[in-house]
Parts: sequence; C-alpha cells; structure tokens
Amino acid sequence: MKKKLLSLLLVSAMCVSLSACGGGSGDSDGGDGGEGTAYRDELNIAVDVDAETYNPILTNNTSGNRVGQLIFNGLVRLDNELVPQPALAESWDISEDGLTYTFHLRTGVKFHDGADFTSADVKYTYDEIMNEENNAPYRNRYTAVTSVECPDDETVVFSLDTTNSALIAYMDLGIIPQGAMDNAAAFGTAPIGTGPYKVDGYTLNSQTVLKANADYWEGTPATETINVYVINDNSTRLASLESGDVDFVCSPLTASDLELVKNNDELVMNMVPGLGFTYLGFNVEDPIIGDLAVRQAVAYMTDKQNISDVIYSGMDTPGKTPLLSSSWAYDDSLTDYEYSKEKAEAALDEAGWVDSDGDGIRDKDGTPLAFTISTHTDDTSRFQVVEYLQNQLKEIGMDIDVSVTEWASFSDAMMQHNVQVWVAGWLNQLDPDRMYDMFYTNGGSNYGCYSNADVDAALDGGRLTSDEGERAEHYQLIAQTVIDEVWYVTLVEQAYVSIHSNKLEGYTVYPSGSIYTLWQSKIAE
Amino acid sequence: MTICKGENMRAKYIMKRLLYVIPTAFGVLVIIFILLRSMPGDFATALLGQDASLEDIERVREQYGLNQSIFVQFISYVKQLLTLNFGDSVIYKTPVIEMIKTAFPATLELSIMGLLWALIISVPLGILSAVKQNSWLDNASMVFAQIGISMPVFWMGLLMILLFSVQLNWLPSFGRGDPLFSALIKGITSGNFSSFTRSFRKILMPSFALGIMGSAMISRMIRSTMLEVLDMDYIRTARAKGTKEFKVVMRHAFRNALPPVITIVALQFGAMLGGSIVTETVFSWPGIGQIIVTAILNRDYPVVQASVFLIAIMFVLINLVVDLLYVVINPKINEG
Repeated sequence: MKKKLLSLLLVSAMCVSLSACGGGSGDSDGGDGGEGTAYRDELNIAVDVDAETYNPILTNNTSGNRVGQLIFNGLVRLDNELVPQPALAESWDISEDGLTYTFHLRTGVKFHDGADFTSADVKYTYDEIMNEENNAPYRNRYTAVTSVECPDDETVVFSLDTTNSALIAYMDLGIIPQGAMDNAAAFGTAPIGTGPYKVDGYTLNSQTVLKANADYWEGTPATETINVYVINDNSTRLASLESGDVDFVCSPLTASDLELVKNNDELVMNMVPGLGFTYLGFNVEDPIIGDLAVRQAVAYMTDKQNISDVIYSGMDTPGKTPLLSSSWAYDDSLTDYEYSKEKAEAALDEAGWVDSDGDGIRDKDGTPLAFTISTHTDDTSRFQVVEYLQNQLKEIGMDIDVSVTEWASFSDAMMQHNVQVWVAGWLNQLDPDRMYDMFYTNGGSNYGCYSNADVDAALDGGRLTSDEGERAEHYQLIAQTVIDEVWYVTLVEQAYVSIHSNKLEGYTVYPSGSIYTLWQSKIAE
Repeated sequence: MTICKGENMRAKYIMKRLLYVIPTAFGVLVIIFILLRSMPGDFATALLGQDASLEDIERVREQYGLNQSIFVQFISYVKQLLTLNFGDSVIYKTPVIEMIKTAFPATLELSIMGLLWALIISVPLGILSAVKQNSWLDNASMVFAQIGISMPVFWMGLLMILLFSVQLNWLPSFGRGDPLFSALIKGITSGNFSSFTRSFRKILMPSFALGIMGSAMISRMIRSTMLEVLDMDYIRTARAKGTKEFKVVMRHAFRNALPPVITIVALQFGAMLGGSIVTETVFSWPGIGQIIVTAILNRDYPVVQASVFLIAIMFVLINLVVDLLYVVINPKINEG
C-alpha cells in the first residue's frame, strides 16, 4: 500500500515536472529590462570552486577573489592592461624616495550596511592583514609596510621601510569595514563591502546570491541579481552553459572541454593571454639535476610549440621566460634554447654522460642518468606534459620516473625541496616583482634552491627604482639568467578564457580573470 | 516460560549488537585520524597559499599544534569529541557541525531518492527475470545489471546531462533546489508546487545516476533468491491449489525472498550515502561528498574527520537496524 502511494506520488510529480519543462530552462524567470530590448533581471554565472570565504584578506581561491571584486573595492583597481586606476582612492602621491604612499579617498562612499567608508577602514584592513594571527595568505606582499596612518577621514598614509615599486598593484585588495574580523567566519559568507553587489544569501558548495547595491558610488548595477553557482566539474560547467542554465563561465577550462562548445553560435568565447605560466622547475641542489648539462639537455628536448599545439590545443601559447611576453618589462631579445635533439645529445656527451654499459641509459661515474619528474593531479594537461617529457627524454638516454600526486602532497614535497624536476604553474603575475620569491636566494618560493648574486641584486634593484626602463633592464637580466641556467623551462603562457551567452552585453574580459565588469552587464531575454 | 526465554535472548542479542557500535566507532575514529595525518602535506599550505613564506607556514603549524606527536594530537581530539565538539573548519572557520548540518540533509535526500529509483527499477526487473528465467527478458536484465555495475557514474552522469539538459533541455544540469520534502509540504499547504517541481527536476538526474548502480545489484539479488524460493515445495502446493500465478509470485514467493534482499538494499543505501561523492561532484550536488573532497584536498582535518566519521556511523547504524529487523522478521535468530 505504501509502495503504491509512493509510486503514485512519484508519477504525479513527474507529470508536473514534465509539464513545466515546456518552457525552456525554466529556472531563471525573465524580468523586464526597460524599453526596446527586454533584459532579464538576473544573471547566472558558474565558478569552479566554492569561495570558502569572501573576506578579501583571508580568501585564497579564484572564486573568492573574482566574485569578491563585485562585493568589495580596493584603493585602486587594475584595468585590463594592469594599470592601477582610481577606485576607493581618488588619487595618490608617492614620495620621491618611494617610502611614503598618500592616498586621497573618495568621499560619500557607503558600505552595504549604510556605514560611511573612511580612512579608518583602510587602516583596519591593512592592520588586519599584517596581524600574524589572521594568517592572511597575501601578507607577504605588504611586508614593506611599517605603518598606516589616518591624518583625517579622507587621507591614508602608508609608510614603508624599503622601496617596493610593485606595491601599488597590490593596493587593489578589497577594503573591509572596521570590526569585520571580530567574527571572521560569519563575515566570510555574509560580507559587507562597498562594491556594486551585496551578498543576499550563501549556501555552502552551492550558490551565492548577489543583489545590486542601489547606492553604489560608481552607478547603479545593470542587473538586479547575479547568481553565482558552484559547479566543480569542468565538463558539467560547460554543459550547463550550453543548456542555458548558466550564462557565463570562465577559466579553469581544459582545452579538450572547449572543443565541446567551439562551434556553438549561441556562445561567445573570449580568449586572452592570462597572467600565468606553466613551467618545468629544476632542483639545482640535486646531484644529477645540479649538472647544468643535464638541465640544458632537457631544455633542448622540450618542444614547446608541440606542447602548446597538442596538449593545450593552441590555447596556451609557447612560453619563453617567467617574464610574460605581455609584460611591459619583456623584450624580444631574450633568447631561449631551441628544440634540438642533436644539441641535447652533444651537451650530455660533452659533460661525460654516456651509455657505458649499453643498457640504453646514459651514466657517469657509475651513476645512471635517472630522475623523477613530479606534478599534481588537479591539472590533467600537466600530467600529459610529464608523460610527453618522459618519452622525449628516453630518446636521449634518460631514465625518467613520473610521480603524480594531489596538490597538497605535491606542494609539500616541492616546499621541502623533495622533488628533482617538476611541472607546476604560477598565476597572477601582476608585476615582474613576482619573481622575487621564486629566484631570490632562500626566497619564500625558491623551490629549486637557486642562488645567484647578480639575480639577487637585480631583484632588489627592481624594487628600489620606480623608473620603468631601469626596472625592465633588471627583470630582463633575471629572465635571461633563468633561461641560461635552466632554473625554469617556461613551457606555456596560460590563456584566460571566459565564455558567455551571446545575449550578454557590457562585459569586458580582463587577463587577470577579474569579472568586475559584470556589474555593467545585462542579458537580453 | 519459553516466550520469556525467547524475549530475553532477543534483548540480549539487541544489547550485544548495540555494544558493538562503540568499538567500531572508536576504530573508525582512529583509522581516519591516522590515515589523514600520514598523508603528506597539511592544511598550512592550503590556508596560506603558494605565496606564503616558510616562517608563516611554520607559525601556522605551531598555532594549530601540528608539530606535536600524532598521539598527543589524537588525545586532544578525543577530549574535544567527548564534549561533543567536532571543532571548526580550518579553511571555512565555521564549526564543522554547521557545515554537516547544511550538507548532510542534501546527501540523505539524494540517497533516499537514489534508493527509490533503485527499487522502482530492480523489484519488477528482478521478479520478472526470475519468473521468466532464461527468457530474453532475463538476459536483457542481466545485460542491464552488468552495465549498471560497470558503468562509471561520472560518465553516465555526463551523458545524461548532455542528453537531458543540453540536447533536450528538459532538466537542469546541476545543483539542488529547496529541500524536497519541505518543498512538497509547502506545495501541499499553499497549493503552489513550483518550488517542489524545481527541486524535483533538479534531483531527477543525480538520483537516477546513483540509483541505477544500486538497482543492478538489487535486481540480481532478487532474481537469485526468487529462483530459490520458486523452486520450493510450498510454491508448488500453492500452484496446485489453483492460486493465481500473480498471487503465488507476489505473496508466496516474493515475501519469502525478502530477508536477504533487505540486507542488500540496506547495504546499498549505506553505500549510496558514502558513495555519492562522485555523483555529487558531477551534478554539483552540495552534499557531504563535496565537503569531503574539498576538505581532503585542503587537508582540512576537522572537517574530514567529522564527515567521514558520520558516514561510517550511519553505515554501522544501518547495519544495526537491518540486524534488528532480522530479529523481527526471522524468529530463528532468537535461537542463534
């Protein structure tokens, strides 16, 4: 009897649902946008991971950062060419010695809860970042700051102990109101900012509802509601875009998934050079990898064009140096190892790596030329790169073992210098100064134990001067050394991809992955 | 007198089974704890990101006691548990119990719907293939079972999304609506079923994907026990008495074939609760599986410990309920 009831219930429910299916995607009801074209009053976007927290000083993932740009404003905002533009600060002065930054704040700005935005909030935000107890992920970027003072409500003065020309680019960090950190957990999912959208609801691992902030200082947002959905699976995310369940998705997307939507006329794909690169790193303190000839041979055998074409379907383009080709500091005169099997073999022969026992593997003083290339599971393309290299290097008598573990294990090994050669990537290369921790002797993310006095001096030099030409020279020297010494083989420069419905208007793609311009976007019915 | 003795035995059996839960739960706790700590890496890097300095990472380890021996860490965890405190998520900062409260109902809802699908498909299929043994229908159901068991759920999930969402545009491709049950109640009381319809359409695909695997197993189980029962003398007697075939199959055979089927159904339900991780990922279902996956990747120890523990305990409890049900439906156990 119970069973009968249940099946009856199910069948009737199914009938109701199927009758509701007639009207297309059904989930997003239309609204009226005004005269002429009618616009929907909601926009549905999908992100790959849950934001975890929207608190700009605690967030450490792409969703938290990207969606956070709609909720918060920084003192500055980086435009699509990474040039700082006024945001909460209307203007700023940097003292001649580069040790004092004075920001003149915008007046009349209000937080979502109606409180006035003042210089005290700026001081609070930066003090909280510097507070070690908060474990702010980006604290390292601001270590030059010794104090933040507020002479009046509209002025903030940052004092630095060393010049850091890269600092202004990091001033785009969202400003939180005073007291936000008193209950960091609650603030993370019910944040209060000054941005164009306020958070109206958050469901763990599922959805964040953003509502337009009618009092936004820059104007009224174009669409009343933005629903941010979490869709972990890349393929499902793209399928949801195709089915019309969502209107906008963005990187990370794998090249093979993109093939699915390539020929869909109803979608617009924006692909721009991003701010990240994928590289092959070398631990120079390893007895085998420490031999420059071995590293050079690997560099010669790495066919970057092939990797870009085959593994990344041309989406990510061949790289040359960690100094991205889109950077103002880049110069075409930087030279890279060309792909050449002969040169690879010659380098090894010359260094005494020969196959003395005829087993197909080169050796030297009884040590076989064998090592491990490691990478992580989150990115299947990197796994393919490692497999490709394994095959390539076998051809010149190297015995390569492959180790693929998930990110936490892999990054732990990398930090402990327990990897020989590895494939990983860097994101958000806002300024060439990002190379500082990678290559400075004992730098925070100097995983390969690199040390070179000229490079250290150039890294310091890049911070100490604000002259762009002089800085560029420093960074080019570093980039060329990284190539010559084969610390990194920069495999590809990552593309940033966003795809949206062709009915979406007003959106501009940013290489940084910022989705800020969605506040001016609207979607036709 | 004999009744008294029987009842006594039954109570003893139930007590014994209940007591077994305690060492099982403790064992699960120890295993999760040790397994998690023996994985390389910890949450310091997840918390601070790639830009963090080594000093910062060391400070976080100090702050959270990660530098202490695993034994000391375990003792303080158990102490904390004894006060019914599962701790706070390191990444989310919120109490783990709050996260579970949000996510577990979603997983439960999905598993119950998955089980419903499994039963709707497997019961008729299992009975029919037993009754029509070696017919084309039997063979077809065998093929179906093979496919159901061997087809990875993420693959089937994607195929379903491509067909029902992208091609036909019938069903939403991801996510969960309002809680199904409360949406239904709301619909009944207000007469407006739109929220229920929305939720129901969202759960159809993930629950079907989850249920199809279970249905394969259950239908094969029903078939084999039915075959056994159908061969028994009393069935022949029933038929000889002229009882209608439908009644013979349903009332005489199926009812007696039920006990082993109940076990497998319960086990399948437990497996669905714990095994919905992949389904949840493919369909972005905000359940406990999603939480576990993220927490493992972030090494968010308190979250993994509590969630996995919860699922393990659910599994143990389901088994317990099945055992107790056995006592009710099968009096022979009283003597065992």
